[in-house]
Amino acid sequence: MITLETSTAHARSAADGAGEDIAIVGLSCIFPGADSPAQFWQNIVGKVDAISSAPPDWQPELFYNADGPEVDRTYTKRGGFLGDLCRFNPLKYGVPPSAIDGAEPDHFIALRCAFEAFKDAGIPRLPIDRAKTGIILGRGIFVNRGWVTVLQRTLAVNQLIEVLRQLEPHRDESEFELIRQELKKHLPPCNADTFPGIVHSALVGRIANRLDLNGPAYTIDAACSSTLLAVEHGVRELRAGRCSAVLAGGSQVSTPGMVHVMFCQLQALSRSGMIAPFSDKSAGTLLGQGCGMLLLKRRSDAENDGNRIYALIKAVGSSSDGNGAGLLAPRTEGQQLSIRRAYEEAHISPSTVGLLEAHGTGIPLGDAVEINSLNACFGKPQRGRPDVALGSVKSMVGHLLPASAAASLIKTTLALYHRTLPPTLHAEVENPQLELSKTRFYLATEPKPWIHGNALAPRRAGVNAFGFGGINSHAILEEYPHDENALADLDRRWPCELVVVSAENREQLLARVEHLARWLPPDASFDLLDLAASCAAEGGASRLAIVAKSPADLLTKLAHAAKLLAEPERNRIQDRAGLFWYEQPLAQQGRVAVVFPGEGSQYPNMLAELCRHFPEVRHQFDLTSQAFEQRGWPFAEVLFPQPSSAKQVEPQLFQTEIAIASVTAAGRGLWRLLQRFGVTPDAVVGHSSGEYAALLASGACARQDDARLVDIIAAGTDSASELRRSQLMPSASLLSVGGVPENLLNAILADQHGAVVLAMDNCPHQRILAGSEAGIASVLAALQGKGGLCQRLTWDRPYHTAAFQPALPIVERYVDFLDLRAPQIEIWSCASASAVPAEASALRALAVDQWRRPVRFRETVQAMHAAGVRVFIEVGPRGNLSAFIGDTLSGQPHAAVALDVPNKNGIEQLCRALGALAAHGVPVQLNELFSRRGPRPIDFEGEAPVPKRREPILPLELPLLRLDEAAVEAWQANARAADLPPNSARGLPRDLAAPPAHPAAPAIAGEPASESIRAAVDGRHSEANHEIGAAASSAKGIHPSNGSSHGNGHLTVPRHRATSHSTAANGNGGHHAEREPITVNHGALASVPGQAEPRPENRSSAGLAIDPLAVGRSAASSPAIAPVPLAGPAIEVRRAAHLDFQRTMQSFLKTQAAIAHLYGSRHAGRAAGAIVEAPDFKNPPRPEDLACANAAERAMPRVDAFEPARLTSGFPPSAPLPSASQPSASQPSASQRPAFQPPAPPIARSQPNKHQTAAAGADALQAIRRAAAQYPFMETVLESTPGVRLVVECELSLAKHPFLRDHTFFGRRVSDHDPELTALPIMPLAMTLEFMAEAASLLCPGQTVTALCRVRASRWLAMYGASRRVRIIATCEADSAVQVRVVEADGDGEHEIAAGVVELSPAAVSLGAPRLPQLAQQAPPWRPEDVYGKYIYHGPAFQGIDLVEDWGPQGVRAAIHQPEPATMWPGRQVPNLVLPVALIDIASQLPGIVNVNWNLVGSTFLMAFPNEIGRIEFAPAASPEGPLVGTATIAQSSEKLYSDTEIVNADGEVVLRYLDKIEELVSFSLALYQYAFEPHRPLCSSALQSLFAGVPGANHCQLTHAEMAAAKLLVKSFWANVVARLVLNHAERAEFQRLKLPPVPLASWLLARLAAKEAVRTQALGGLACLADVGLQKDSHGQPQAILPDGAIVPVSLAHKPFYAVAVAAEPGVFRGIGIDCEPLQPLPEELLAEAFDADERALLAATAGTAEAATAWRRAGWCAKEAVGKALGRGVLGGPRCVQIVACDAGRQSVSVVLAGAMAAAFPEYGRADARPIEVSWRQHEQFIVGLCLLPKT
Amino acid sequence: MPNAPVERQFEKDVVEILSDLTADWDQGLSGPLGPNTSVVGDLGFESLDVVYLVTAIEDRYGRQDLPFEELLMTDGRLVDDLTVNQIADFLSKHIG
Repeated sequence: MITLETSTAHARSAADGAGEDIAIVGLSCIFPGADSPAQFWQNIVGKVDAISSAPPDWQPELFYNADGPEVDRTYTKRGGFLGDLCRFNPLKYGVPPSAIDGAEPDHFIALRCAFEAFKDAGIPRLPIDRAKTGIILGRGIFVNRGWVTVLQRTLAVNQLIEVLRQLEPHRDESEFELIRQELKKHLPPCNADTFPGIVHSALVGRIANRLDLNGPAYTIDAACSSTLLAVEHGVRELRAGRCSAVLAGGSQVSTPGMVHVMFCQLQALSRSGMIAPFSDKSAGTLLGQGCGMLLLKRRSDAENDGNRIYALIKAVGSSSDGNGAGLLAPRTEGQQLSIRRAYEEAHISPSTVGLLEAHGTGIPLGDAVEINSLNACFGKPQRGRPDVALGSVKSMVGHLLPASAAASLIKTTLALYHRTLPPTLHAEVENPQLELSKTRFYLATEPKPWIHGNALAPRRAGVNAFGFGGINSHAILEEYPHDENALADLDRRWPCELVVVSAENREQLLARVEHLARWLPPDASFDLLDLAASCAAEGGASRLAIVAKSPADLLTKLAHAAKLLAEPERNRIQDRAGLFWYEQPLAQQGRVAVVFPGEGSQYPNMLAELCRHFPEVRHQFDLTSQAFEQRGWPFAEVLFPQPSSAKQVEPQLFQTEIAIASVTAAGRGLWRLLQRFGVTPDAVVGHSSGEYAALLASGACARQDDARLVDIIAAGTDSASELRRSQLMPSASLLSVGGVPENLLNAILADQHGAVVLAMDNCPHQRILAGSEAGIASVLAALQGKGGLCQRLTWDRPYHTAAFQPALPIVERYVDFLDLRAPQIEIWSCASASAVPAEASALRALAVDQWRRPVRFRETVQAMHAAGVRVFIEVGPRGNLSAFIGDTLSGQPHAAVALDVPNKNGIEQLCRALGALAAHGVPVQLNELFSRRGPRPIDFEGEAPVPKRREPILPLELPLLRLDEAAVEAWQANARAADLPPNSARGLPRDLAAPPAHPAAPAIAGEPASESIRAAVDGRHSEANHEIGAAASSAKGIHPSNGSSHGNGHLTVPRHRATSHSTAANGNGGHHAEREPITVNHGALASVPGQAEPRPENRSSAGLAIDPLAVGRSAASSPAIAPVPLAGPAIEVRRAAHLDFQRTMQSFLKTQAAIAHLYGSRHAGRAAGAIVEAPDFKNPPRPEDLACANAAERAMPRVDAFEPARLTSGFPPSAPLPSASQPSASQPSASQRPAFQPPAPPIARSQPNKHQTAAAGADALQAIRRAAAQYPFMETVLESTPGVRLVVECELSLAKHPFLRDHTFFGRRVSDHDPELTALPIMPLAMTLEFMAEAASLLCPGQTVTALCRVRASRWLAMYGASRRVRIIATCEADSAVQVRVVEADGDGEHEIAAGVVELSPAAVSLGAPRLPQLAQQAPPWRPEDVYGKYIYHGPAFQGIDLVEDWGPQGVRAAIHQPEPATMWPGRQVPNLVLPVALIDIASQLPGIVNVNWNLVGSTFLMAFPNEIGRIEFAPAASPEGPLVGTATIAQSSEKLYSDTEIVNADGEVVLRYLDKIEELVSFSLALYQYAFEPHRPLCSSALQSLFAGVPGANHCQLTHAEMAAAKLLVKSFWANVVARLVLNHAERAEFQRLKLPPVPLASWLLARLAAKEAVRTQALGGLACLADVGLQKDSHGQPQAILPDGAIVPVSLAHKPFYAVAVAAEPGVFRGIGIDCEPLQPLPEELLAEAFDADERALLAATAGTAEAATAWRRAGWCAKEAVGKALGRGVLGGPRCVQIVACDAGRQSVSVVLAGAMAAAFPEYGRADARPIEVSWRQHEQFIVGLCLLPKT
Repeated sequence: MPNAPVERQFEKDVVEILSDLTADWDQGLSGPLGPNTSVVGDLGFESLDVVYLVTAIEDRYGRQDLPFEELLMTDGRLVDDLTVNQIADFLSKHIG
């Protein structure tokens, strides 16, 4: 036990040795379940257990095994995980996004917390000396994402490849390299950008840098004590004057599985899945993630600077265990030392501590040692009972290791700030071995108001942190004596809010309610507090009060109230659910009185909720507690007991002293509360002992300051004690009699002759009798069988009877002490049932006298009513008096409102009471409900509130080595090829293997013999020409696309950003650099003539070819781009281009004029557009900038990369509000709408007619089917429950839905000869939305679709075959919302295609004026016709963009129109669509145009495919004719495109609005995309042509190769389908479907076809054909040949390796045969070498090569030669490679000459003769391949 | 359930009684009363309301001798809540 003097001073100066108090002025944190101190506090008092199972990205499969024997596994995956809360917006904090992915997440969360702590401390509004501000953070070194990235990229990948090489030594190096690259592909980067992010010390360095702080900045690792030691250092720095502010805290943002594994080695982690410190369930700890910071200043500075001070730090003590039992075992001596040092330093006694935040890990041994240490320092219970609340926040968030004390400190700080004792979870039953009842500590399991009775010392708390390795610390915190009422209440989420809607009269109120109901976002995404506070600010005599528990609840109640208000006969609304409105408010008719209940109404935990939120209520209990404390009596623990002791102490609550004291305290507290709300009654009255509170309230007691009140309470308590002890009055029995007729009771009482008397006449239904036990018993007997309800009461005092008479002098003395005088408010007496004369003597007489006279409450109430009181407010616990009043005044106009009732949340009852008062016209200052919780005012004249878009999630998981499917397929495909039967010798012992196939192995069906041999020898997949038409034996089905996009893709090419200028070296802006290398497109001049001089500012770069950067920056600043001199022909082109430009400009100006006209009519009413600036990373925002930005944010829509200009879906008040009774003029007339009548009125969802007969059901189904006929896509109704659910199927086909031809991927022309050959038709998402809208309309007939929201597009709806079936499932979600899912009905399961919620309304709703900012960027650098000519593949039915007027990184604005509906349905009747589908599609095309560069540069471009749409709204006339203007604002990340879009008509009205559209950006081959628009343009480069230039015959051939940069995309089956539909004819398409190849072989198959077709069309048709018009087929030997549209046959040969293909086509009739082959430039394994070549051949090849390096090429060339000859001869290599003999090599000509032998010689005797001329095969190296070409001349 | 129809009748009666007692309040948002409606949880009954309930039941059946303590007390304490069903059971036991 520490014995020190109790400190009486709140603050200490440095002079007394203790050091100045340190003020905590700012807090920030992110802990499991909480991303702010406010949320953390809400979770704490809300008892939120934020422990959860690890998320999937934690990779539990790698680390977790609950029961396994492995020592490298964790047996629990439970812990405190940040999950979705872990968000970081790099741009906001001036961090380059490229620096994040491969770095330690702690760095960024710590930076965010630092910013937020500053912001919380009011900086920059309040001063801070940056030069003397330090940062000291606790942090441990654990394995983490950043360093694991380095490890994986360096060590792990290479080790893995080595292991792979050991396992599969025969593999080519290229295959290992592929795996290496594929593995690295998925890892985060590891480079100069990410390096600072893995340097431990740079964590604080980055904060100092970003916040510009010059104090010391370092991290401390002291295990679990790290944060407390960081604070200790901070305290020292501040006290020494070296710093004026210190940011202290701790960080442990991620807890990878490895850390769990190691803690499991100690058996330290809990197997029960929870942390239960000090409880009988303690079973270990669990790890948690998080970061928390405290901004510290000296108290005097903080006070001078006007800081908010959360709490004070008195001292931090620390110690080490010294020579303990072991490094990891806690040692009590060491712990005690740290605790003692803290109290010694602070000069305060542990006896003044009321709350102890323990280290409390939940590990039983640690908990026991900690209790020992605490006992040793804190001593025995002071009054025989525990008085310190003990807990550990680890039970809620887990053990945050070095940051654990950050959570402890912030929790304790907020507990002191809110004067609330916080609870601990899972500690309901204490660990009996700890014997806590003998200590000063009790386990706090429920949040309690921290009632404080010690007048000598403020509230104090201790915080323990004891670390591994024996490092201990203890901090002492103290409350700061601020004005609590002026400070924020961080527990701002109340269980409900009171929303009072006001207007001048009933009609206006109805209009206001209806407006609000429509104006608010229907998805209830607004903040209820903000709304309630904003409504409270409005005034009016007619008031509707709504107690709403959630935004959705409010919407329901608003709608309900609107319905009731519209009922003319209704004159009030009074619903227990929390609705109050009165036609004739009572406060306008009469007076308001307050009634105070007396003894007996107290109950445990009364007003606890109010105490927490309203300090004045708690303060009155504090005062009572002080009075009790002076006498050594318990108070707080009796009134607010912890559950474990509640039963024991409850009887004490009914002892005279505490009973009266607690009821009076409650009355005083609630009275103060009522005053806060400005409610001033006309009269007060007290029931029994409630009179004391009434006297105080009336002002009859002269002085009522705190000290005087404590005296009054003390005197009252002494008086009560005296009464109890004096035995001046006899004990009595009491009986409550209810429901007994008055005359009967009177008769029975008369029979008692005074032995039993009436003590209280409460109301007609309740009277209290008092008397002797015998008398009461006889009354009970007399009442037996007479009905009613009798209850004996538990107390025994004969109050309000003559028996009290002897004790009156005691009361007199107390009343004298009160020093009564004339009251300021009229006071009534229940003894006289009248108002008390305003004279002190009369008051005194009644105050005394009432104790011996019955309480005539019934009569009093009646008299008050007669005197005009209409509203009674019960100010005290329980609410009994309100019921008495209701009973008494039944049938008469009155209102009785209780501020508190048991069994109801205190806040909720307060809201109901204030709501009822407000509705009755009592003036109530409602803002007091909200002011301490920081409501943000809502502008009802502006947009409806919408939640802010959340910031990007910061990945915490460890990077995983993995391969994607394509890489695995590639690897396995090779392995499979090696295993091909029957000739494979691989895997078998040589002597058991089949004998070598040559000389003449039988060919298996469909597979030429040479390939079998090749497979046997080479062990790789067949690559020869013969595989055309050969179905692979490996039949892994083509996976249906599971892509996350939908068929609405549109082109977006990576843009050069003119702002990109920084380099990675300075760490700023490196992410902005273009990823794709920039190359000048020489062909661009010819192909884009209009752009030679598109803009005047471009003239300076006239000497350059088209330089995409030239527009954004000067030519001089782009040295990377080599200037290309203009040649003669180019000048011609330029002239043409200039003419073209002039034409374009003319057209541009014309359209400009039209647009200007449109805008002219809209400018007037529009606010200035947002000025948008690109983030500046050289000058990152500082907190002060942030503050300015926040101010600006309020003033105007803010736009940055993650927060695009926000649109909201509100209804401006100027918009006409169509009501149900007044159909909107824009509602379709009967003639416009389908003619069908709804089969039945809409049936509310809540009342499905379950008793429908089968016949009626069938009728209904028939009716719905008839109704469905009006909708084009509601084909087959499968199921229908009107108003509830509808299931419809629809078959989709090109024949029925011709618009699909205008929505094909990609390109509108695939063939010049066959119109039936189309690219892959994809159902537009807009049409899928139509499916949804139709289903919803059919389900809810008579309603209009006004919006779709929460749309999720899951997969393509592609038309692979002739038709597809979809099922549409619609379910009513609410009265006006239908959830619709569209699923595949013909696949192998009901895969979802899309889903969303359709909103309906009785009438259409205006969308009002535009809200997107007016963009002012620049004109796009392409011609209007290019939009659909080059960039957007949509056909005429979906073409509507006329002119893009404004274009830039913020978005686009364009003149658009809606195409004629008939365009969509050529040649057939145009059906009625519910939605303006074409317009929706056109609107969706706009955002992606932003990425269309003025040159198509690089080899890939980005396409955008919609994933999600937050909301689409439609105006009444959503099928507008005439010119429209579309505006899209966008924001982009590397993977997503976010946009909002509005379409505005000529009247300036919005007709369509897209909100929160999120699209996935997909990289696609630019060449292929361009081919789609111009199918005659070259697709496969002919680089091979020049390579073989000079080879005899090569001038009669066309050589091609295909190696598209994005070819790997083809391994996704969807993209393979897209490409197949672009280039294949009917027969080839059928073959493609039959092939069933794995993805990689399939992709290579396609590439080879591209190459061959390209070669053929170039050779035979000069390129002027579509690839689909060149057919590839095989001859009788399986040899490929090409067939042209005119039937001509063209010789062709092709070969391919994964993602690489070559082909050659020859002039017909020139050659005997042609053959081509390709081989990777990699060593041929030795055993294959032996198979392929004999000794002579090997020697010849080696001699020709000269060097080892060249030998590889020559060997491969030799191989190629043999294959090429086999192909050229048309039969493949018969008999094996030895049947083609190499006889000569020519290094100069790069050729190999061969002769035939064996089977080959036999098959082709003309080449097999001894004198036959050798066949020469030329070879060349192309990229990393050897290509062999055999052009066999005619003999 | 031999006396199920009788209980059903009591259930109807109790619902009717409770509807009368709570006529002061709109039921629009809370929905109609049913067998599982609870008098405290759903109807917000306070102690005096229980007296009303008792007297209303007595009036309806003309019985002054029903042992309501059986219904209202357990272990010497007032029960926390009662449902329509529980009251109907009580009535069928003592009246039916």
